[in-house]
Amino acid sequence: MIFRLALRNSWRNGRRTALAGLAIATSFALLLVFLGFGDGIHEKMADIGVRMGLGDVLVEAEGHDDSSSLDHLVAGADALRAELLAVPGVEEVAVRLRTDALITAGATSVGVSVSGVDPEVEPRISAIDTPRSMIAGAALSPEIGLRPKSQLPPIVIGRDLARALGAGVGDRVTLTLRPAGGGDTESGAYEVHGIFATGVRDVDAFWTEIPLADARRIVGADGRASVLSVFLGSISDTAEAAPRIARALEGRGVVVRTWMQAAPDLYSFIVVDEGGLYAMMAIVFVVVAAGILNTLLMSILERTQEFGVLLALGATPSRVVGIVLGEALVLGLVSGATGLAVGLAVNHHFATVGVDLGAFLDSSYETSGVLMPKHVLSHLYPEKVWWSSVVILGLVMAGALYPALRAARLEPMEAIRHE
Amino acid sequence: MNEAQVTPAVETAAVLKVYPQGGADVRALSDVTLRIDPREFVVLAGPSGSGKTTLLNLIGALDRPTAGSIRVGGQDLGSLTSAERARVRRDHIGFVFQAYNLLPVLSALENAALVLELQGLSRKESEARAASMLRSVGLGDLVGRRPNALSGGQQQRVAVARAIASARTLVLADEPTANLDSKSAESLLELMMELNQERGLTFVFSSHDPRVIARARRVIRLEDGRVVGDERVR
Repeated sequence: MIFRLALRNSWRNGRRTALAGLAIATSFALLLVFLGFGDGIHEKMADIGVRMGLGDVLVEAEGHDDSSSLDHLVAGADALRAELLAVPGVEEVAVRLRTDALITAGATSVGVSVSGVDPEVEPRISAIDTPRSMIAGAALSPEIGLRPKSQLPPIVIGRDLARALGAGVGDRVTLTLRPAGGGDTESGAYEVHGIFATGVRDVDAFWTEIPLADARRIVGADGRASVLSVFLGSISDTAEAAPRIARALEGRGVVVRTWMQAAPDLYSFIVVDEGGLYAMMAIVFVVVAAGILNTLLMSILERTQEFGVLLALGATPSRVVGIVLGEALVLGLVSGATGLAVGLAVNHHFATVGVDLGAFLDSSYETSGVLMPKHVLSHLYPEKVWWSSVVILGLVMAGALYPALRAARLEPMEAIRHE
Repeated sequence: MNEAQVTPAVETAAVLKVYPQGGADVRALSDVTLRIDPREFVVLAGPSGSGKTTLLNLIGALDRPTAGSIRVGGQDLGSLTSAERARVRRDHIGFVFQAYNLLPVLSALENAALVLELQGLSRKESEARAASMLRSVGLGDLVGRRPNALSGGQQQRVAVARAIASARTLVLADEPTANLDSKSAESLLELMMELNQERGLTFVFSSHDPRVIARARRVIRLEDGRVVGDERVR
């Protein structure tokens, strides 16, 4: 009887109920879309950051506190890479050797970071040394090793650096750097093999990459590496995988860091952005809850006499609370299901077709030092669908609680006489 | 069994009811002491403002007296919590209101079955018993109609069916014929008397309609909140 009463009462003022239902359904659908879009864009931002010379998880030598220092390098890096590839969840490991250098072309010199990378591995995981980033020439590739010895070793440089040096593809540049263990500086001539444009100003102006073998040779760090960048199936697996990797490498004199620890600015940006999204949704929820409260209060006010009759006939206050909460439940379930269906459908569209943000971003796509993705695919986690459903239904019921208690506290005869 | 051995249907002792009104206290009832036995057919008579409705509300556990005690079926209402009073109303007292007060979203059958479902009976059982009650009040053909599709007299019959559908033995009715035409009023009165005689239900109702008062077997007269007369007519 309670359910029938609730159901029929819900449709007595169809327009008001429909409006309240529409508000719930719309806010739930929006919540799902924003959650999916937010997670999609944040994952993409993190992914770009991770592929910009980082990794989901970084393995470095103990004491290695400066990414360009050659003082503490990982020994036996290639064997360690093989071990890391055997750890569950690890999909790829990039061995990298980094140092600071002076790059010279003609009379112009610029201080840069040089990263020695494996041309066989890097194109699969990097956002720098990859054919897609190249605006001139080509990325480093496995074929590099087939070049005749008489030819200069290749180097890829950023667009802004090329502009500063006045160098183009095929031009000769000189790297001057200090070898591992100190001593006199070494110089080596390189040929510009490719020019990349990532959109990150610091990378495009001060980053260069050369084959790992050449880097090791010039700095005298055979078999060693600054960092082993570990890539997982998904960036969202990082927190779970990092301890597993640390356990696997225990006692090897290395430290394991996540990308969140290695790039705190990027991580903070994402956390703050996520917080902003939740705060906005909280405001929407408060408005929705107020709408539900108003709808049910109006409905109860109009039916004061009927609640008086119910109480007079022997309905206990808890039964009256049940009737009002039942109405809210019907409203919450019907409109929540509608919002869920709409939200999932819209989210599915954004998860498959995606959203093009290019029109909203300037040419560098960089905001506060974080590279914004040009194209985003929504990613909605099932657990977020679950808890947001609970939150929406909880809000509807919370909004109904005061009207329900108010109805239960009516004095039967006063309520019956209510006009 | 003599009168003293029978548990009274209703028993009031020195009941006082005071309402605050505009900064002053208004005595709605003063020193009302009554005993109504099972199967009685009692009218509370008196002019408007004499305290009839107040007394019915107190007997019906819808209000609490300022002083004095009220027992229904031997149970002292003064010691009960709100929820316990609701259960007394649900299980022991049937109400018929002047304005019928049927729930508009429920059919005649569902309205009559409402109290039974509140008592915890299944929907099927409640509706079977409610249908039987509606037949007994002459509305067997109108069970599916909602209140807005019934006349005033028919609605009041549904209200009576609702009041007697459960196994309750005390029916309180506040001016049950006030909104009915004379034919419907007469018909309703016949029905209530029939239920009183055939089912042994105790009826206590208020009225200032001389035609209704003339049919009662006991008339308790109230004036200014006091009992000024108590006559057993037949």
